[in-house]
Amino acid sequence: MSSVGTNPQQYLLSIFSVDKNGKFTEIAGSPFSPLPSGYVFSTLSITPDGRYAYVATQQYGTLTVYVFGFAIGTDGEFTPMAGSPAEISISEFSFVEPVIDRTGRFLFMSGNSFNAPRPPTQTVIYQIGSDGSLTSVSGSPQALNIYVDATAEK
Amino acid sequence: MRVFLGINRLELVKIGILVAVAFATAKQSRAQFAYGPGEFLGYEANGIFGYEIESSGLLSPLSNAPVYISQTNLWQESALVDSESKYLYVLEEGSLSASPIDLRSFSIEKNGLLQETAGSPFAYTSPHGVASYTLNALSPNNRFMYMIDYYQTDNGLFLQGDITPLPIQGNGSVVTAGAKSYRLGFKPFGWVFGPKNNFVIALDLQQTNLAKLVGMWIAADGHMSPIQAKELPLPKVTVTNFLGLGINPAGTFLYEFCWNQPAAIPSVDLQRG
Repeated sequence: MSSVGTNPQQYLLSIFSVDKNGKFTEIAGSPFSPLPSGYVFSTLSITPDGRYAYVATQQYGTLTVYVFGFAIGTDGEFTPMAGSPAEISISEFSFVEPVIDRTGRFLFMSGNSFNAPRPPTQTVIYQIGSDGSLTSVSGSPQALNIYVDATAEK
Repeated sequence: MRVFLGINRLELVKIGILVAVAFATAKQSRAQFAYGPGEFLGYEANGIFGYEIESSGLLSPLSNAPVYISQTNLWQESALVDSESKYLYVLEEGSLSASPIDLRSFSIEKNGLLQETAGSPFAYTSPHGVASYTLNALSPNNRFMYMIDYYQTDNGLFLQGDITPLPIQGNGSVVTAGAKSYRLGFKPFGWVFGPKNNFVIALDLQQTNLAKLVGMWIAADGHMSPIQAKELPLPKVTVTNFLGLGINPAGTFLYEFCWNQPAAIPSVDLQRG
């Protein structure tokens, strides 16, 4: 893992284990640099079963948006997912935090192109595979009026 | 047992299979919905939009969306849905100087449609009249809506934050009358709840661009108190900008992410409007 404070483009992820008494213990090797140099760590979304995490990010200096996927180990550490990252095809996509539905099957990421007239917003939709991989849904992105914020299951 | 209420073992097995299949089918067929604030007449009128999540993942608009159309110059902040998918809450801010702030509550029907709760909107007044910024958070046990008021100086530094727990009743209404606010004693930047509703972990943002983690116990009445001697210094970096906190659903791992390069970062618009 990279050292701290030497790379001017370094984005850091600190991981703490939390016991039932609320005691935090930073795990060995933390902080990590889960993203390659040049990618901006912006958001963190975790599946309901706690097995996978997704980081929405922009590539430094390009405004191209990517979603990196990670498998979460039993020790809490992130392991990069094969085939990751998924690239958002919308140019200069200004996004809000991705939302994962309650079944953990889909990831929604809403936003606008910086220079596009508003509305509508665009919502990028990925299917989350059983291995955590992301597959763009046919018909995605959808032009909608909302930023997907929350989901429900009835 | 060969016979049970006149049914032999084979028939019992058949019934068991049928019940299992029916249960599995029912579980698979539970409908999924997505919600969020939206714009449909520019910036001056907004609503809460609801969509059904199709099996393909695409979103189909619900028949009564948007369920609420705000008045001119109002907008909705993010929507929150409780852990049981019973109610949706929206914090509505007219402006940064608005007082009181309206909290809207909607019941989520079986078909995903939203029905505004009786008595909604519920008026909330910041303890100091007007806060620089207000956000809300729903406790994991769905019993409290926490109003978090931030006060910011002109140069963007955070002053002390206040918190107000608002009880939520069984019908989804939010009790704002008689609400008691108290000073957190630190400058909150981001926080996450433990899934068992027994603690919250926050970033205490220091004016030196350094921060530390702060733990707070949550009492049965929703009141928070500091976890003594549980504060940890965050990693020492030259210049640190904290982006957020996350916690896994089991509440066993806390994630904090930051960057140490404050300049020349492409704009990432995480705010609406």
